[in-house]
Amino acid sequence: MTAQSEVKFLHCADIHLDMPFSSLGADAGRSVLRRRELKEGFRRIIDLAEAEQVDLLLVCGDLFEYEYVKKSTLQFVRDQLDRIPHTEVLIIPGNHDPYTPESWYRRFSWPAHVHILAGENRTFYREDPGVCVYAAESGTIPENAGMAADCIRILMLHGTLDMNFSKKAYHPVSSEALERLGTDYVALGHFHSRLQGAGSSGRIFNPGSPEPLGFDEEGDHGVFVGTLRKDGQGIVRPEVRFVRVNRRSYHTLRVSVSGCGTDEQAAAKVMESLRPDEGKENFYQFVLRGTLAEGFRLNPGHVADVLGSRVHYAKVTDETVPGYNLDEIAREPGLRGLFARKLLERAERAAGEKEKQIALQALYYGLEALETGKVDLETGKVELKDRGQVEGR
Amino acid sequence: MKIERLEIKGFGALSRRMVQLKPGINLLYGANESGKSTLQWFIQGMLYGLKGGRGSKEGLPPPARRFKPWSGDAFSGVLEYTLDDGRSFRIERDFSANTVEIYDAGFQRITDTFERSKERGPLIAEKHLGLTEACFEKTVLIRQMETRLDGEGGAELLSRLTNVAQTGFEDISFQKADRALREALRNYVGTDRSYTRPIDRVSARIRELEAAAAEAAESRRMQAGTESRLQRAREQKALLERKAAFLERTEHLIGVRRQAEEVASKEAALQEMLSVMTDLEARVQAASSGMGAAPSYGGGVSRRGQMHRRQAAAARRRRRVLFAAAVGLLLAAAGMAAFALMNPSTHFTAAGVLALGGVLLFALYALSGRRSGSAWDMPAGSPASPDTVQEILVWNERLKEACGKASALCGVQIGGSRDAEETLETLSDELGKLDARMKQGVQAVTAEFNEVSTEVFHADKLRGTLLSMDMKNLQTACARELTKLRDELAETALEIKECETLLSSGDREEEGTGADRLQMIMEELEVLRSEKASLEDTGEALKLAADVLTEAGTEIRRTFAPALNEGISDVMARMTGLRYRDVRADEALSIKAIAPETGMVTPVGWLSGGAHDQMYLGLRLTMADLISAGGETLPWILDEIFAQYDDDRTRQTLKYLYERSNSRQILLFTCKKRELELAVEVCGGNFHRVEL
Repeated sequence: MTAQSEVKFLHCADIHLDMPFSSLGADAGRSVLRRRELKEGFRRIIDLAEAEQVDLLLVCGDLFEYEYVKKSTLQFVRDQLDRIPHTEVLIIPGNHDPYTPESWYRRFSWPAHVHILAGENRTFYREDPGVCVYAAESGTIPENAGMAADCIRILMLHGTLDMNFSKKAYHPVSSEALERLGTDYVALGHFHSRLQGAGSSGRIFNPGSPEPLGFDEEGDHGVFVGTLRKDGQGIVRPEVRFVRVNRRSYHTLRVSVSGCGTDEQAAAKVMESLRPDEGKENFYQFVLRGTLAEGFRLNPGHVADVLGSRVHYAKVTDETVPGYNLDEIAREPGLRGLFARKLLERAERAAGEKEKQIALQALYYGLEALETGKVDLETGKVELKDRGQVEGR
Repeated sequence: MKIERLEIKGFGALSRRMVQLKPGINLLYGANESGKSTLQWFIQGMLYGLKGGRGSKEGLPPPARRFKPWSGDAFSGVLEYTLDDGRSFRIERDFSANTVEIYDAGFQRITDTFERSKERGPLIAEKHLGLTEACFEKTVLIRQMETRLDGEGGAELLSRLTNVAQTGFEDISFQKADRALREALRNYVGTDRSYTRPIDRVSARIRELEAAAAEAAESRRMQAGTESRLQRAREQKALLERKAAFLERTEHLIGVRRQAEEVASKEAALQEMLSVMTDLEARVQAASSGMGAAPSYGGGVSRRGQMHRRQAAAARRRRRVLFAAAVGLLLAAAGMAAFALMNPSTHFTAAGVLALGGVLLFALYALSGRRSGSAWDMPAGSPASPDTVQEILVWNERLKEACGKASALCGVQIGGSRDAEETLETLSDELGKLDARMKQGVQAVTAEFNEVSTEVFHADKLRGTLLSMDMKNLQTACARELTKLRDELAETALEIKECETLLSSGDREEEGTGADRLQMIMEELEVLRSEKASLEDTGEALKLAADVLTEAGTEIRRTFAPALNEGISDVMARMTGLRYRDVRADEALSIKAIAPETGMVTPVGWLSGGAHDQMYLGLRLTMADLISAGGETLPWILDEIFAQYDDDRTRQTLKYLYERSNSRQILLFTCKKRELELAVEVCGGNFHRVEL
């Protein structure tokens, strides 16, 4: 018989405070707002930790962006952590907030209940309630790590799980290797999508980013709140639940705008694809597809402007094709037919998708030039945003 | 191919009409607004279907709406035709439902045997005519007005001829297209030689932002460096303050040590004086009381005097304890000094100060030892033995003198041995207190020293260097080190202030005007890099288009233009009665003809308007020949082509058409009786007249 114990925790990761948002284009106001929302997200996590009265707050890397984080943001983090003095806060650095000699983890004054598990100090131990936490960088725990066998054992890792381990992968590890360590809970970070109960014993968890950070992070985002309970036989049973904390979400919708002859018609078709209650709070990427009316070229920026009044943020990607009947044109005698045949052949034997797309684009430009005597790319014209001079700002 | 029959249920103004056509020339005659153009659209629509969607560039509704029956009849019809190989077919098309069926000669439904288009259903005409709708419109179908050239006839014709020579179609210009692509490349993208085009601007802005990002990153690095510097300076300040405190305590101990030395010196002197006083007083007392024996040396010392001796011995024991502390301090000081020797630039002051403290304490012990060995022991000596009053007076005088010296020494009135003993007691107390203070001081200094000292040491070297210093030198060295330390402290405080100012200004910048600056730079950079990549793709596509167009143009000129030259020369020779026998496109694709008046090669633009019109028709007919060469012999559908011709030219052209009608069906639409009469004159009865 061993002593019974339990530990309650909140597991979060990849908050990326103060990160730049290139996915929002050059809309500076929108990205400033989004950065503020990330901080609000962190505040909600602390609210949750406070309400749940967790023993441990596990922050599995990339709490902030070292290259961009402001001191005021760190002070904000400290203020928030000060709200939960009875919770031990365990932070491991990630690839965006590495534990370098200049790291804020070394330079900043963190409250006493905050423990940065990095460098020489990778183990956290509390006799009451008998918990050991180790911050790993791979699928091994050194013998001298001080992970007592009779404790509830938690592993924290910011790394790449079960992926094609290229040289660039950050702290790659396999779930088999993690399983072999025999810890009671594996708290991961790094990947922004949620992973719940992975591994043969179902003890590997990655909450993903609590606030989604781009269009490749759709769906609900949040944190895990759990209890690790050790019974008299020394068996630890994890009870973990996902708690959604994201304020906004990202969506990618593919919409056919076939036959549309104006940007407004295209925008109207897109709006039809949205539910009445959908959109106000969220980020949308609309991928427009289909064959447009003859002679019409879509202006994605204009369509996005129209849609901007309907959703929080609209990004329009144009994958439409001009309304040419290429089969028919290719059968024509004369220059146009020959030109079309040549470029269709090129597209056909292109080495890759990009080469194919360029051949097709060349075909459309050429057909427009032959048909109208001009190529009007005003819609795609690059206009430098008037964001003022960089110097002096 | 021959169109046999048209059956119109309802199509624009036409309602329930049946038109039977024959091989050869079919002259469809009707007044204006009788439906000639509509009938042509009906033929086209039956073959290819009617386009819906948007209206034309001229603002007309799309054909599917434009030709809805006025009468309310079914928007549908039938077209029957026979191909060159003798197979006959029947197309039934419902324009409203956008459905079509095709039957063979035995009314077998064969609709499903045709390739289908998503928008247009079975592609009947493409298969049987071998022509797309665009080609049909541009070759065999010549609508009203198309042969009428505007005021700039020459230039227009020249342009159309050039287009045909270059592209196969009169309305498709190679040169315009080529120019458009190259202009688009220059205007919307930029080239290797451009400086102000979009890609140049984007690239310049990217460079500017990259420089700004590097500057901002450097500024952050500097800020981080300043943070570290501040941290180091604060640590240095704390260390210096600890050293200063140590040094000040050391200085204080020197003061205590000096005080103790003075008190001890006084005590020793007074002790000797007390012996003298006691002896004198004893002698005076003995003489005065008539007792003769003089006390032996030392025997006259009072119990209080003996008590002082015991106290002095106790003080010596106390100072032995101090010795142990002093040795510890000395060794630790030696360590610091050794470190200073190894790192002279950083810890010299500390080591020096600490070492001095150690030396001081060592010196204190040494001094104490000396005192216990000399000042506190009464030297041997014998008082004179008075036997007369005179002697008593002398002793009293000497006693008074001794009291005077003792008073002067101690600064209090000492009237005799009792007073001296009391003063000695006071001095002893004072010395005891000073001992206690020294003990406390040594403990504090030792504690401080132990805290500061963490390095290995070379004690011998330290002793060798510093033990020779006397108290005065020690005090001077201490004062000198303290001054140096205060200078260092002032410098460190200055550095702290400087770092704090820099950081505060950086923080203000970070939170104020420069808030999110780096993020915004990176966001804009990302957008611009994406735009640049997109521009490069666009540029690549435009360049590819221009290159492929040139390549195709060269091929067309090589293969199509000679055939066209030959064809148009033949047509023109036959239509003009050999007036124009040779029409060609030169290397520069300029169309020229041999002018009948001069016999010289002349640009087409210089010829007469009538010649232009005829040449244009010749061109279109040649095109129709070339397009259908080797395939189905398609009917020519010609609408009011003689509108600009005089009788003679009409006659010549009709003759040519009549010749061609042997092998090809021709649908000639006209509203003029004169043309009907000329047809009769040229063809006799060998044409089919249809009244509309």
